[in-house]
Amino acid sequence: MTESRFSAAGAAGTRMTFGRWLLFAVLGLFVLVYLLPLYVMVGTSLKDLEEIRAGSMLSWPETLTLAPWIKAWGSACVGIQCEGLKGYFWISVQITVPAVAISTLLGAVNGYVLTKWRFRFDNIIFALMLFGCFIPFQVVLLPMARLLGMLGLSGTISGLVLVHIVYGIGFTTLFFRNFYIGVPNELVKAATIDGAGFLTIFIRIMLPLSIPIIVVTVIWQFTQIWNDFLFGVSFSAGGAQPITVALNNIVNSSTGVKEYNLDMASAIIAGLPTLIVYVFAGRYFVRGLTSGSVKG
Amino acid sequence: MASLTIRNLSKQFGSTPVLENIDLEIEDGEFLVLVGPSGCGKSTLLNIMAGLETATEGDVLIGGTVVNDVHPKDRDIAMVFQSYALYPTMTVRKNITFGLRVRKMPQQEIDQALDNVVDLLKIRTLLERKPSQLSGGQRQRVAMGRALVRSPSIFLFDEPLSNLDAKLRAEMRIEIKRLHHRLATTAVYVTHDQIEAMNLASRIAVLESGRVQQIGVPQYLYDHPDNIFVAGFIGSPAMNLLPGTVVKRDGRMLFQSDDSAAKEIFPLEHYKFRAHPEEHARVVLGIRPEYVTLPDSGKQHVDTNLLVEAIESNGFDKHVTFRYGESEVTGRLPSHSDPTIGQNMRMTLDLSYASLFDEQTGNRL
Amino acid sequence: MFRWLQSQLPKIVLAPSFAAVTVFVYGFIGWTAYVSFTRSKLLPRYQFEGLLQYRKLWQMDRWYVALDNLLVFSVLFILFCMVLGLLLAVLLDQRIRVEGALRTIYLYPMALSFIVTGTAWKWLLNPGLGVQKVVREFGFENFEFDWLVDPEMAIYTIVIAGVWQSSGFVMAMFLAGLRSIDDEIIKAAYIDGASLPRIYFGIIIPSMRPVFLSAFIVLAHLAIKSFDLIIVLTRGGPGYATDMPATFMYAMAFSRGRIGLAAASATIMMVTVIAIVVPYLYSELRNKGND
Repeated sequence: MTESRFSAAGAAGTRMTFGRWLLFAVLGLFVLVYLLPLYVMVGTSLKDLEEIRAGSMLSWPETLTLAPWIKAWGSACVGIQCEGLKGYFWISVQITVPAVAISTLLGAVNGYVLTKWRFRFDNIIFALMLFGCFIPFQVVLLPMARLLGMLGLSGTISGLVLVHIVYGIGFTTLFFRNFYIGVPNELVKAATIDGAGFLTIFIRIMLPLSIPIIVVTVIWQFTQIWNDFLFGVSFSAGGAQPITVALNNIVNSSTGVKEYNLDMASAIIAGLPTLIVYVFAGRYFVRGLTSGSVKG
Repeated sequence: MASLTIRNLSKQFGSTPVLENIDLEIEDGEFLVLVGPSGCGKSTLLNIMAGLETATEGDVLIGGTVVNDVHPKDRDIAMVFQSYALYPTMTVRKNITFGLRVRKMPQQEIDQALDNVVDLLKIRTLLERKPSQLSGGQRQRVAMGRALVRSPSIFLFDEPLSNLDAKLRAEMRIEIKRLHHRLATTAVYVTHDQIEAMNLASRIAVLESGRVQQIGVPQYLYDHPDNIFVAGFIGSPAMNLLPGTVVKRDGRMLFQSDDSAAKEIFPLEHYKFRAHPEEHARVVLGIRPEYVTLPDSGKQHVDTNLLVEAIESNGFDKHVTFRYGESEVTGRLPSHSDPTIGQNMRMTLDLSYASLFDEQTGNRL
Repeated sequence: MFRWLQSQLPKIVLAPSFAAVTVFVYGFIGWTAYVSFTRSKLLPRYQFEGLLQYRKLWQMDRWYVALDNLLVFSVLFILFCMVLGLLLAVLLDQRIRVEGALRTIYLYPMALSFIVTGTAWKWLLNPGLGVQKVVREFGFENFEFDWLVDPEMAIYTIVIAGVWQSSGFVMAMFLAGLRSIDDEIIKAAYIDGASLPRIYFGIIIPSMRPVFLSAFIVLAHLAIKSFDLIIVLTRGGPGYATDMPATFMYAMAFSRGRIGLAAASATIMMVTVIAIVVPYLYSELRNKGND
């Protein structure tokens, strides 16, 4: 557990003073605030429509049914098709996995070059690449749509993979570059004298010690790409749509009766992968967030 | 086994000169120490010898062949780094044999080479450990093992002992010396620590501001420094430097110190001049602390009163800092003597191994 | 020849990524900016026409609504996220045994897509069956909460959802910042007799200025890019009451077939972000020094 800075000076209150009670009360309150939506989502997804309309949002389901889930997965209507989310889930997987892998690999090798094989203007090149992380993507939507159309990649999985790789390179390069700066240059010198070349050093020396940052980068990229909506909705009209787009379609469909339990179940299905990754590897996620932004 | 020659070498980073007109002839089997303060260019020179950096001008020759364009891995050299630079994810065994495996040496030869090195450095028990599980001294041994295992013609050391604590440093110094004696491989050793330089070198090259100030056998540098910089750099505690003027009386050359109230005169008859200064020339007289002693009648000396300002004991002797006019003079007294601060002591300044420098150029006269 | 290739290998390896960025970032920005100066409607026309799209933009009521919403949203979003984030960070800094679990709980919303978050809040704030019903069941029979469909108030629902999602992240940043302060300064102050609040307000928080700045930049960036959350919560509605530049641009580009106008709005978004982020980046890279 983490030590507070006050521990050496005599711990400002491990005893249960009033201040301490207040502290826990406030923290507890916020736990409720943050968990409430999740609780309501899960609860609602397990109720039938009548109970939803008649009862309170906060109550635990009495009817406890899995029907909404089954419908969400297998037969919910997204646009004209009523095949549920399973197809879209699979599409998201096909988009996310290659995009994460390739953008991470590129980020690693770029970070390696920028820190261990310095050359003239490399700082400027890095700055230019980094800048790509910060642009509002609205400014590339139109030309990208046209380009994908020209390449015949509109509405395809490959098209979205390309998009996510290109706009992920900035972040992944940043992560690896910041990490590799901390790796002593003497390692590369020693390996050079030992006879290893550019690629050998990367594969046999840099990559093995990069496991921490690879994890951070993969988690970050996975979260960003799986959760993406803007690119998904802009470039997939009529074609392969990721699950976030499908979810929006379900939730905002103007036809038929509003099935709140279906909406909730769908949302949870869509959010589950990144949530699971977060629960099991959350600290790496946090490391990614803070290292990318605080350190700049 | 090979000689290493540096010919008219210069290096600039952008427009900043880092090394200027370096000429070095290192003979086969020599242990040359490049010593100098931080920023003097010694590590850069070492990197150029290794092929990790290229010179702006000049040549590097190994065994008589120009190797300017030869890749480090083909120069038959090995390097030991200050931070050890061990591959963190590999075991000691893999660390040491990495270079051999990259060169695709047959496994049997690799095992043989490893075997020889491991016993020499007493690291056999560490073979399956990772660097993070080793102490500083052990890591340094492994780093040396990695260098030794390839039996290179030249060893390059880049401040290898700087990260160790004092005791370990002393132990490793002896270890390195012993190894060199045994293997007789040419070695170039960079350090900022003049004690290491004095102890390890067959010859020392003192670098400052990118230039070689002096090269020579350690004792010679100690007794006959070529300029004020070398005089002040080599030897600890540092040489005392007293400003003054040259005067001539009755045909004798004398040094008149600025500092003593009595305008003390130091006889220079037995000083071996290289260049003859004019009368009234501004000069600096250098006397090492061990020649500032309790009263003693030797050949050529000056007796004077010195005011005790500070005392340091190291058990073996006492380093006493005296005030002498405007200057501070350090002397060495026996450990059982009893100086007190504020005391005026009569001391002998022995001129046997004094040095005289031109005040302006700093060069030895 | 081969030797030269070998020595250029690092640059060769970097080249594809750099080329991609050049084309897909800078090239595309250039294209969009150029199109914003043309008459393009459904298809791009490359005849330079000057500022006509921008003039049209500033004559549209919808655009003013979008800008106004952006301002309101940004201010509230950034403010609440920072305050909440700081509060939680300070509270968590107090040596709690379950700190890890609490951090996980406060941060998990960041792992969710905005669509998922939006869906949840859309339900929670549902005019008939959501918060309104719950509070009424507690006895406040006249409580009304139909913000989601109220043109005036809908924007605040987006603030609520946004703050819920992002405040944990700010908390994590601030917590890291708090912890990076040298312990010895705190100990010295403690020995000097400074009280806990004094130590926080007098020493710790002032030395966190760089973190505040970072958080501000990140939040401002998030705010300007807000798109997903709006689409799912309100679709920009009712009408276009909760439109923001991002949704405006999307509508113009893909529903209305007015890509010149869309390009103009995108360019303005771009310039705004640059104006905030570039000075910050520049000073950061400068301070990090030449490595």
